Amino acid sequence: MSDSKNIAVLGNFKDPNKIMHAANKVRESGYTDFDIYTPYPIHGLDKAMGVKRTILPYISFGGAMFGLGNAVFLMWWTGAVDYKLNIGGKPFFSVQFGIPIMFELTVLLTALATFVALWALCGLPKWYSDLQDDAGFNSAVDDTFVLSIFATDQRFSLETTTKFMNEIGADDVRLIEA
Amino acid sequence: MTLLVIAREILGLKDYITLKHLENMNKIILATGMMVGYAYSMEFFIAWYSGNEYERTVFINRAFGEYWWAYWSMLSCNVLSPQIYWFKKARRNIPLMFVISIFVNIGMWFERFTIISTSLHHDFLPSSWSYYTPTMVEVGIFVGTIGLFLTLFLLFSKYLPVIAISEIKGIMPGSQPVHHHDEEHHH
Repeated sequence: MSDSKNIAVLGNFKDPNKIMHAANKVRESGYTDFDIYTPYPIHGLDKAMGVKRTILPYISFGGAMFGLGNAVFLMWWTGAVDYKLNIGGKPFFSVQFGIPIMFELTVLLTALATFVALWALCGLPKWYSDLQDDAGFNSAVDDTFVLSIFATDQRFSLETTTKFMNEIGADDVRLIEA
Repeated sequence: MTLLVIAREILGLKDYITLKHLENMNKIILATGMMVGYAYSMEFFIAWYSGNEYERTVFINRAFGEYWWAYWSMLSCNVLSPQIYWFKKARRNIPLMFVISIFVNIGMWFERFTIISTSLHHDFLPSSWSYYTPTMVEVGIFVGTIGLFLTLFLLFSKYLPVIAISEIKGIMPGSQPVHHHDEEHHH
């Protein structure tokens, strides 16, 4: 391989207090393009990293409204407009008999919208990651917290970032190249 | 519940699935049993209140017709047997909760049986009304489904983690950072 591109600088942590402290330090130093991989959720870590609130609830709500609107339209159009059937003198469309279908489609489309939006917002399916060959990164699902500062960050430079990682207490600071 | 009580003994999960969890599950069984009892009584009330002779007849046939034994088994297993869980000692008694969970399983089976058999044996064409009895083939299929279920559960517990390890990691002591107020942080 001739020209290897720098992808990220990785550092390992073993103690949740240290990674929390490190997350605060990284955020305060002005880095924005970084990520932390943990085996289990750590309370307060996304706040320490400065992660913005997700828009997923709004998408779910949009899905719910879409489902509800479709349910009402379906029943109204088929029952009161297109093929009116007189069933025991009951009204052609009413909220009361519409509730089961409205409920079902609302729930269904909320769930589907949430599922699709979650995968999309997480960038899934991710066929390839530059970090996937690194042994330390793979231990992030097991017993290590891994901090990764990406080279696409504006403040990234190999020497300063590596020095910074060592300062905040990361073990095995290493560069990942493409 | 049936599977859990046995699995937790054999797989050694008593520290992860505690008696408190089982007690809470029994409270849920009591609550859902009463919800189902409410549904059964509403069925009766609406059938009577509607004044519709056909709806009334269908209900009376279900409760007092040829399949009355299925209907009352369903009711007693689903609604009456969980009522013992009002007592705390019953909720925390492991052999008892295993027995009650079997009763609830039987009750749910009778509910499905009532829905299917009772509505089919007296359907819209009176000339096709008759009393259905299962043959050995149907009993065999039923026993087979139980076998299939147990097989799949045993395969699952052999090859896949029964408890999500990442969740356990997250609640172990020392796994979460100790929260302390720093002068630099503004909350």
